[in-house]
Amino acid sequence: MAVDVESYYTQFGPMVLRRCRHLLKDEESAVDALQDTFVQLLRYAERLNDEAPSSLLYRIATNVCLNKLRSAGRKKEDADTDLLHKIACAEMPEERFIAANLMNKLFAKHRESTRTIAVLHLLDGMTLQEVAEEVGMSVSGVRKRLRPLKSQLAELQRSNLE
Amino acid sequence: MTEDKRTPDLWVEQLAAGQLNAEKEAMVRKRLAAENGLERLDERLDERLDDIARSNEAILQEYPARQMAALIRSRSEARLPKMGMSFRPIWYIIPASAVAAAAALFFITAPFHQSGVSTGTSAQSAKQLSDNNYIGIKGTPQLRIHKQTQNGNISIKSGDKAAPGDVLQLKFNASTAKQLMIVSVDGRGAVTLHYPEAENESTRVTPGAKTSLPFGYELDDAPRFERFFLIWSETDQDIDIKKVMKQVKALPNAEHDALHLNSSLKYKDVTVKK
Repeated sequence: MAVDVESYYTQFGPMVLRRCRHLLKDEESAVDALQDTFVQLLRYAERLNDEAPSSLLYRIATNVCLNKLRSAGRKKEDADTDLLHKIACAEMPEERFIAANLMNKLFAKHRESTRTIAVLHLLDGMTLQEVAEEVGMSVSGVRKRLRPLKSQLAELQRSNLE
Repeated sequence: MTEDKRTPDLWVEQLAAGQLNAEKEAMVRKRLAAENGLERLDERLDERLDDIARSNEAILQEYPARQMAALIRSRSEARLPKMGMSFRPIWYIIPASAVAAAAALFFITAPFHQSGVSTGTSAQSAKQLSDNNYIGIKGTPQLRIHKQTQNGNISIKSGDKAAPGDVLQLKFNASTAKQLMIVSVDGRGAVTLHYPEAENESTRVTPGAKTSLPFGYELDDAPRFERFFLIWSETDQDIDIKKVMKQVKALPNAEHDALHLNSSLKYKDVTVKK
């Protein structure tokens, strides 16, 4: 499916920029992330047949911003930014496991990153059910993904208090 | 963050963009109205919707569509290294040597034991052995579990111990199965679906396929055990995942009881002790 970038940007670009501003708290980085998000949209254009563009763009933007935070090591400004930074930098079990068919599985199933799921639940305030509906997974699947991350975040919280 | 039950920003954005179906729009409007202390939202536009409309105008003026679209296309075509690094899918960051190592690990653990290693002597009981769904013969689908350690991956047999925080890798050999699912239950009675990933997904597998689940499973602090079930059939009909999960949940003694499934389904189990 060909993507009319200008049309999609007009309709959803402001939403994406607001999301990036909210997560990155820096205009230059946010505009950079905005462009990266739409570049990703061009790569995942086939998914536009399956899901609403606003949902897809919102999640791509979240993931792009998390990757930027992970590499930037930003200053902790408030509780939400602190949480976001922790999510961005947490070690994900899935990155430690490799399967011969992983690439095919990811392409075929369009897996949502655990970090993006975590942001939707822990920062954006969606319930597990709401997150599951948003990303097209089961509630038990979402819970399973978040379980190791929550343990890590709890551990980070404890070590920060010591 | 969630104490005030603020309507998620995504939904407000989607409402503003007209991207919600009628049912969800009504739900979001109701929620926004409640946040504003209103009976109905259309009595007064929500402040957040007002802000979005103003913000849209400001952003499109500051970053016009034509120029931004050109920048985006240019960046996409150039495939800038910065872009590649900032949003590289997971598999790109896995070195090829690691992929080869994982593939080697998989083949080292094959062929699967033919003695029914997944049946687990410690979990067997006379009741289980007599259960028509329980299978312990050669040439049937196999479930393999490995625990990752600093010294490499260790094969887990039924009755072996693992600790909270241990990460388990699940693999299966579909063998004669045409449909397959993997589910576990822990000492708290929590049931987790491992394969397929979602309850609404197909359970169809290719007979003879050997598959490693791409995500490891970290054990939590649930007490005593985590029992994994590999359930399969040789028919063309998808397994009713929800029904099976309910049956697992309903086991009076989740650690030892036999599963009574419909006649087309068979299962094996591996119990990891804690």
